[in-house]
Amino acid sequence: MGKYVGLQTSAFSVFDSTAWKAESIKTYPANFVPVNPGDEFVRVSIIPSGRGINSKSSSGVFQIDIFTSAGLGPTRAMQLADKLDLYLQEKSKTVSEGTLQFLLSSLSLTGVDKANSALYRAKYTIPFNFFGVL
Amino acid sequence: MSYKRLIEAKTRQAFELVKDLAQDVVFTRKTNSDFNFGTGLEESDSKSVKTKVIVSDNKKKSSERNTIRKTLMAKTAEVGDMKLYESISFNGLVWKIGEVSKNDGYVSVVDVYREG
Repeated sequence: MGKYVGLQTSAFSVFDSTAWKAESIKTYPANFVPVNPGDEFVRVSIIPSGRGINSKSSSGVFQIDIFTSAGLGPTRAMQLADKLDLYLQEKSKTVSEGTLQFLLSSLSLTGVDKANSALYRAKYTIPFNFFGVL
Repeated sequence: MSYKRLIEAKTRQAFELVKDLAQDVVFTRKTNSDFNFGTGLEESDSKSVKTKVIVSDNKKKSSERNTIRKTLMAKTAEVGDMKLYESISFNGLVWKIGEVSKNDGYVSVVDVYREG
């Protein structure tokens, strides 16, 4: 398996876990168009823009867009960011393709979504290192 | 007859009057979708709607690639919300749905794209 698919497999395993599914937070990857996402969901983008320690490794940032109802304040977005922290921040995930290590997260409240003014958008970002198995 | 039904009837009539300028197409949309993070694949059901469209514009979109864009008019009463659709098939080719530039409740105007 290649470096990037290995990274994706490791990353997606977080959201495929029983514990994350039990949170009942609608989660979609980038470049996926859900039919009825509702007014609360998160969208995960993996940006492997950095180098790794070997040819099967990489580093970069997870960008997770958090969408909640507009007009209700930032509390729900903060709560969802805290939920993400529980599963990502300073955590590591090892699968057969390698080990994915998350660092410290940050959150940016970007305001009302440009495409849908009924949604409020926040951007959760967390750097990662992926150590692929050679 | 209500004004709404009158306009819908006249819209249907207009599509018939242009004869073969209105082409038979099939719109396809997802009726249910989810993403399986275990497999990395989409899981969805789809539905097809047959209707007629009028091609109002047709041009090459990019000078770097052979991206072709067509602008289509369709009867809103038959297709509903165009944003729900993924693709459209006509003349034996599949086109991806792009921006919906107009929907007045009777006629929808949408751009469709294909790499030629």
